[in-house]
Amino acid sequence: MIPKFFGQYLLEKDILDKDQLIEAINYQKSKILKLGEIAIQHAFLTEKQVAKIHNEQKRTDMRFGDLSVSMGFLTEKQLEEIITSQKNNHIYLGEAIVACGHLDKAQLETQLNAFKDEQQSIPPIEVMIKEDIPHKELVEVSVDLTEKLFRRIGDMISKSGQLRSETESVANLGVAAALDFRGDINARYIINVTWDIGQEIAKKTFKKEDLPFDEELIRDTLSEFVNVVCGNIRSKMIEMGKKLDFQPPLTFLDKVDKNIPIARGEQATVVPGYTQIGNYELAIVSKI
Amino acid sequence: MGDSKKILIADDSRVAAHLLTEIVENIEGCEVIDNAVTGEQAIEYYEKYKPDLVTMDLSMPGIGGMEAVKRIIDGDPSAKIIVVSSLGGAQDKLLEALEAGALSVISKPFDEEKAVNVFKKYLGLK
Repeated sequence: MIPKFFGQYLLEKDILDKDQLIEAINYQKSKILKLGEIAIQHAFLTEKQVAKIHNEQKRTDMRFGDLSVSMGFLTEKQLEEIITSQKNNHIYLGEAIVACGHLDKAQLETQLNAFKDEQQSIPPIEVMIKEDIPHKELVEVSVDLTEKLFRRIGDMISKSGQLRSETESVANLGVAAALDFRGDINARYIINVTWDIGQEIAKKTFKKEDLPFDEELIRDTLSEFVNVVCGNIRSKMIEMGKKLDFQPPLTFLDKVDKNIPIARGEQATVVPGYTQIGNYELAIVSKI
Repeated sequence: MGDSKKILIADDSRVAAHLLTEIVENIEGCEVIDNAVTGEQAIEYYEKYKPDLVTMDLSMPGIGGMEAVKRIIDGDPSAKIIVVSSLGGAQDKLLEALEAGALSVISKPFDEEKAVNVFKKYLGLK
């Protein structure tokens, strides 16, 4: 089961229509106090200072909180306090849906319980890495969710091996696909598999045991695999408090026989994986 | 097939397009008319075929699926577009697509039963 937010669940189940969902989300948003308003309430900032920060925001792409500290109006501790206050005072989507009159409280509870039951089928992250590596949480989540998707889509039992760092290239085992995360973490997810694994994923995806070997189809399938696993990684990271977005997947179409290069100033954390069909490697590449 | 409902699949993944085609063609009275692989092509094919429904992947090359939703709806406010998302519960992106005029969303990997229900609902099929 792919992680999703409560509103998407209600929409897919046809409990709310899209106009009702949009109304509830906008109501929920309208109830969120802005950081500037909270800072004024706490007497950390004056209205004039808030206006100055807003003006500065127009010239830069910095966020309100970061600017208020860099302009010397707030201390880090005060910023933390107002962010916590903002988080504690938001209303949940369910409350907004009830406030808009689209469900009553009893109906909301029934739907929330059904949603939680569905989401509980997403197992917790089980991978723990001891080594001190860049973006450790992202690597742990990536390894865990990749193993789970191998199990679910390809019926493959996979086991991870000893991780290593690479700064020049990642050896190509056959076919590779990648996707770039942007946001709180800027990093590239690369999955690199033997042709046998690629073929196995394609067979399971197309539900055809006698699927003819087709390199292009295997690349497409792996690219789709990356799309799905990175969607799951993104959700998990958001749940863990990180803002992440991603670009469409890339396949290394013209580099099939070569190693996958790592740009200067970047480092890859490579985690090998073993399945009954063959080996794969997962790499998370980021700036050193 | 003259009275069949025409579905345009906008997805750059051959795999996703294949899986969606199988789901659509298992619904009686539905046929897939073409597969667009960029946002620009989705708009071009929409104009060409005037489909009854479009499935739109948000992560596509070119202008992307989100921009294609906006431009198709701009040209034809009655266009029926279902967003296909592998964005893993990204509320902001889905809200943007719904506000732009998309009717609903189906998630990757596909849950066939849910996808069929969504298609039938917006195509007016039982």
